[in-house]
Formats: sequence, structure tokens, C-alpha cells
Amino acid sequence: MKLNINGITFYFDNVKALDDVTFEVNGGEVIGVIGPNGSGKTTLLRCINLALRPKMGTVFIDGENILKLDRKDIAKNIGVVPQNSTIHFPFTVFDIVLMGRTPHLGRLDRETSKDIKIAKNAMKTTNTQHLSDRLIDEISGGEKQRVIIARALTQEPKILLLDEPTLHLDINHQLEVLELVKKLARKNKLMVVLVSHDLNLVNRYCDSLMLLNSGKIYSIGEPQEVLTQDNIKKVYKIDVEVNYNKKTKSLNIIPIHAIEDKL
Amino acid sequence: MNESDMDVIHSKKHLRWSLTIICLILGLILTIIFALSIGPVDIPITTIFKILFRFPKSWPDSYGIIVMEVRLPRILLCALVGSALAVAGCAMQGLFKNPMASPYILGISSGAAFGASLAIVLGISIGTGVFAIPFMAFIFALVTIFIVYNIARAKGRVPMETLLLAGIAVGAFFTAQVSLMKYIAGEELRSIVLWLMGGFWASSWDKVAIAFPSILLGVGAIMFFSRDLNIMLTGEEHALDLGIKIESVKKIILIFASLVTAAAVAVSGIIGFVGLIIPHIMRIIVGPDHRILLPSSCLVGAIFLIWTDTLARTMIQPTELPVGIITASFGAPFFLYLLRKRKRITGW
Repeated sequence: MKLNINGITFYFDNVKALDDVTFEVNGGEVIGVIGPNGSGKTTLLRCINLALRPKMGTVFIDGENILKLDRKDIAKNIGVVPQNSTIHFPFTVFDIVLMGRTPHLGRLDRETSKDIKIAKNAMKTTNTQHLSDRLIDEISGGEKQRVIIARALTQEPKILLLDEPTLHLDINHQLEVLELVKKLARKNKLMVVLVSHDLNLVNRYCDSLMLLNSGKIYSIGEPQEVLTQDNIKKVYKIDVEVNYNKKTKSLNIIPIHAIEDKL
Repeated sequence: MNESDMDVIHSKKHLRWSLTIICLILGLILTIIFALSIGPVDIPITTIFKILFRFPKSWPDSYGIIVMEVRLPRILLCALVGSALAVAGCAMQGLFKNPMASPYILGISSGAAFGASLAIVLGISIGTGVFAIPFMAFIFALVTIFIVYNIARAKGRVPMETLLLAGIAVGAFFTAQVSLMKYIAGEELRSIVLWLMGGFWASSWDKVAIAFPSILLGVGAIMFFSRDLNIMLTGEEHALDLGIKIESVKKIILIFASLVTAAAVAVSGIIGFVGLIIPHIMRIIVGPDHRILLPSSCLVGAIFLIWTDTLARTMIQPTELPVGIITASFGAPFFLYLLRKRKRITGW
């Protein structure tokens, strides 16, 4: 299984937001997208599932051009956990998770016991079963994030896109969610693209990283190749110290100070 | 919770939905029968049955005319209009994710009022006789939504905030034109004012025939998109990610909600409150899922408007009150009671 992002270029009006972004993700692999604010991370995610239509370039899922798929078929292939999951309506958690079956159902179809089983499995995987009857607007942020992941899994996608899944979560839940994502990628052979601002967490849980700067890929590869003092200095305009932590087998990025722009 | 529990809960939910709908349908049938018997002339319910089912004649001629020519079309019109407004209101609230939304939010009522007042004051209409006012109201309602929609549309998308503001602005424009019509109306002023208040005093089988096709089509179409509406409540971005073509769903729901509203307003004038509050009441009772919310709002809207109109035509005999006065006078306190009891409106 392979996801090919091929020369994606996107404009907001006349402003170029993504410039010829090309990379690929294999089944079971987690790729982390990092970069400063406005570097095009979220735009890239939205282009991958055609929520935004790229001006040039396309996406191939196992060799199939996504432009030839309709929205429903895209949703069968790609599950998304968006940045903002504020839901103000009192649907139960189970209702929300079951909504993940929508792309597989006809308009007047009722969910069958097969659909319910898939939803239940997703809830088991994400450890949200006990929340089943709770209302979505009454559970905590960490729980809600896991519920939305459960819903994305209920779509039975090949690809999972996550936009800052650890935002607003405490340290415990940050680890929990990312561990879950990695486990899912391995177990279900999912292709995962994850956007994050947390350089420390992202290099720990991702197989490879992509550093975006002003809509262009600045660096892509193994975390050690991407998260170098030099790269971070140039893209984020900060001085950092990069250490290897033996316990977590990952890099620790310690910001030292911001570099002031000389006018 | 173990696995089979969720299956049970899920099937129980569908059973509860079915029971709710069956009870409400029975309620509607009983409502129609009671409302047929109540009026300046009280007709026994047994006689109502005999008339409806064409038993061998054993009642005064006048009873037959009262039931079949006066009360039945009026009651059916109430049911149609109540259903239409409740479903359109429910759809608009879901679409805008706004508790203040009603069927009239996009200025449809103002446009219809302008059309009606053109017919009443200046005698301009493409229809004649009984059709003159409803046709103009209907057409101007549709013209209004067409204008609002096209103003709000940009690059193939319709941002809901722009739509809302465009609706308010276009509505304000037509309201001003209605004021102008009232100002120059002279003797026709009373006719305009009564039309604006809304009511069923001039009901006839003709009007039922005008309203029925549009309302049936529109209500059916909106219900067809129940699941899409549910998912859109969780956010447009989520809906897109779950494979909903949000722009076309928005467009379709807007068109059909406008169609049923236009049909309702054309035959009954501007009846407030039903389209705003019935969906809220039902959301408190059955929850936010449109697959049950829309059909139950539809039935309760019909029941509610039949009862309020029955009150409107019997309270101060021999004359009658505009039904809009009754809908708000009785509906608002009941709604406030529910609101207090639940402490918050579900879902907003």
C-alpha cells in the first residue's frame, strides 16, 4: 500500500500556500509534518483528501488518482481527525462514532449489525467503549480526541490524516494519543500523516518527518536528518540545542532563544 | 459496557423512534377528528365518522357542508402549514447551527408579504380570483430566496454567514416595500394587516391543492437528507471528511426548505413561532438526530397548528382571532416551561 503525494501546489487567491510538495507514505508508516505557523501544514492535509482542491499536482492511493474518486469514495479511503472538534450538539459518543460509517451507507440505509460491530471495534481500540452513552459535548478534550479517532477508524480508511491531535491535551493524553496512532499504523497497516507543532513528540513517534517552510519542503527524511540545529534555525528562526535521549530513543529539542530579525 | 449491550441499545433506539412516530400519527388523526367536531356548531364525533366514511345519510345537510367544505379543508391546511413550517425551521436551524433560525430567516416571509400586498393593494397578480394573492406570495417568496442565494454565492460556495446577512438585508428591503404598500393602501389596509398576521379563515380545497404538492415534495426531500444534516451539525469540515458533498447538500436543503415555506406562507400568511419553537421543543424531547427530529417535528407542527387554529376560531365566537396570536400566546409559555425544566436548550 502506498500513498503518493505528487507535486501539490495550492493557492489561496493569489498567494501560493503550497509549492510542488511531493512525498510518499507506505502502509504502516507514520510521517510527521512540521513547520512554522503559516507554512502550509494544515493546507497540505486538506489537499490530500481534496477538502481543498490543489491547483496542480494530485494524490495517488495505491496508484489510483484521487481526482477520479467522488467524495464518498475519498471518505472510504481517508479518515481525518481535524484540528477543531468542537461539537455542540448532544449526540452520544456512540452516535458520533457510528457516523464514521456514513461513506459506506446509502442515504436511507440503517446501520446494520456489521456497522455497529465496526464502530464497537474502533471504540475498543481507542479505549472509548466506556464513554458510549455519554454526550459528546460533556466529555473531556482527551476523550473527545480519542472518540474522533474512533470515528475516523470506523470509516475503515487506508489513510489517516491527523491535524495537531495533541493540541489542548495534557502530557499524559498527548503520549496516549500518539502511542495509539503509532500502534494503529503498525497493526492496521495504515498510512498516517500527522501535523504537529511539538518537535519533541513528533520525532519520537514518527518514522519520518517533513519540514515545511513557506509551502515548500525544506527537509524530509529520518528525524535525525530533519531536526538539525541548522534546519531549525533557518526555518523557525530560533537557536536550539538538539540532544539524543537514550531512554526515549528520540531527540530532545531545547529552544535556547529566538533570533531577532535584523531590519 | 459489553458488546451486545450496544446492539441492544441501538435496536431499542430504533424501536423508540418507531413508537414515537406511531403515537404522533395517532395523535394527529385524533386531533383532526376532534377539531372537526368543535366549532360554532358542535357536531358529535360519531356523526363526524359517518360523514367522513359516507355512511347512509342520517344528519342535517348543513353538517355535511360544515365538515366537508368548511372544517376539513381548513384543518388539512393547518396540518400542511404546521408541518411545512416545523420541518423548514428544523432544517434551517440545523443548516445554520443557529437556535434563532426560523423558516423566515432568509427574508422569504418579507418577500411573500410584498407579493401579497402587491396583489391586495395594486391588484397586480398573475393569478386570478382565489389564486391572486397566494400566487404572488409564492412567487415573490421564491424570487427572494433566489436573490439572497445568488448574492451570497461566491466561487461556487455559499458561506452561511453571508447567506444569513444577505437574507436579513433583502428581508429588510421587502419589509420596507410592504410598509410603503400599507401606507398607500387606504381601504385595503385591513386586508394587508390580516394577511400579515396569518390565519386560515379563507381556507378552501383550492388552497389545499396549491400547498400540498410543494409541501409534500419539500418535506420528503428534506427528510431524505437527515443523516447529512446530522453530520453537518458536527461541523462542515467533519462533514466533508465523512464524504458529504456539503455545498450541494446545503443548496438542496435551502431550496426545499424555501419551497415549503413559500407554499405555507402563500396559503396562510405569516404565521410566526411554529417554525422557530416546534423544532426546539422536539429537540428537547427526542434529541438532535434529524432522522427522528424531522418526522416528529413535522407531525407535532401539524398537531400544534390544528389545535391553535381550533382555539382561534372558537375562543371569541362569533368572530375569530388571527391564529398567530394564539400560537405565540400558548406556545411560548409551554416552551419556557420546558426550557426551565431542562435548564438548557438541548444542543445550543
